[in-house]
Amino acid sequence: MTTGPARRSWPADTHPANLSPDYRSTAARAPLHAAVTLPAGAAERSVVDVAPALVTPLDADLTRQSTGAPLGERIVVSGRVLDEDGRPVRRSLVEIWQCNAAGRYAHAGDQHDAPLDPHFVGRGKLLTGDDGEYRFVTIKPGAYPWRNHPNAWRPAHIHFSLFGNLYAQRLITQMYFPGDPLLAFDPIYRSVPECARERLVSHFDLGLTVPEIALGYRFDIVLRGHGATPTGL
Amino acid sequence: MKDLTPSQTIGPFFLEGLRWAIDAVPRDFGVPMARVTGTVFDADGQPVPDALLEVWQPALVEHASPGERLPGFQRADTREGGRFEFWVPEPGANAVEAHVTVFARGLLNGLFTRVYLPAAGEATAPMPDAVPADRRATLLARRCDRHPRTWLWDVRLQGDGETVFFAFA
Repeated sequence: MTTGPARRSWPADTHPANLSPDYRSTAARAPLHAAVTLPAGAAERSVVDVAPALVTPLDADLTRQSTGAPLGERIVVSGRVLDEDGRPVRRSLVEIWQCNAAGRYAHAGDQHDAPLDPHFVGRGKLLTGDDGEYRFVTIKPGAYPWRNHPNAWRPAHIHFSLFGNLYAQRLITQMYFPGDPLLAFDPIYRSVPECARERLVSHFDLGLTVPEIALGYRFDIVLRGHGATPTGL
Repeated sequence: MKDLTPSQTIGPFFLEGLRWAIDAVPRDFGVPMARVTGTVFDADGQPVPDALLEVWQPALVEHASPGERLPGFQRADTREGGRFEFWVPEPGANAVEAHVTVFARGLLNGLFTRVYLPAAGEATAPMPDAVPADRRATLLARRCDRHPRTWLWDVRLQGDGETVFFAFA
């Protein structure tokens, strides 16, 4: 057994409460029983091994997945995936999906009256590198209305799905943009404890911009696990 | 210590973004398989048609064919009226367990659960002691009378018969 600081299985000072009444969809869906805590067993510590064939270089560039260029502001979104010790989470699958520049998803269920972009599907995936690094090229997603409450708008966001190296590291989250005035009104963003919210906001990074091509945003992600990944969950 | 990144909901519009070559479809898993099917329900008994189940069975990794993109892993959506299906090894002398993560609009955190298929001739399966006795049935699949290679298991997110969800220390 590894030793070290007490492990926090799913810390309440980081993650949203399942029942967050301002986000109405939680009312009938959030479990009300406390989670049953178990020691992470063999399955939870098992390595999730992604075949390199799952990803191609084009999967990381959402502006080049069609016959033409999507409309909108091209951006680079890049960062590192780390564990709680700051060690890189290597060779791990990262997926993203998002709406287009007008705020519309290429999804049959999205009925927002904004145009679809025939050149933008809005999905990407990659494997992190040896330093835990990743880099996507995409377009800046638009804000869009939803019916959670009167005049509700989601701030611009990119959905992130992270596998880590171990099953129990699995995390799905959303990345936001700095200075977005809609963050103050968004019950999904505000479901996160106040001290942890800013971790979901990317940073503008001039060093990531590609001159004449794209602005750059940095978004680092920390997954659970410490004490010698991949066995120190 | 680095500060953990908080969780957020998968939202309603993930489907086209996450349909890679890892959907739960019948294929050669290298061992005889059974189908597990059921419905995700909310507290009002309404089906949840915008959930995603991820099924993790590390025991299948060693049997994976060379073409498997994410061995041991399946994704099942619920767009057909809240119903899902995925595949697990047919239980024989031993019970079978599969590790399932549930994501959905309205779930701010992914939910870890498990499904157990009892060994032949058994009514239940070994589970961790921490699972309360009166909630164990929520993790048990039962064999379908008419389709013996099909097992039935529903997920109830909240309310009567709420499925047991886990956290890992």
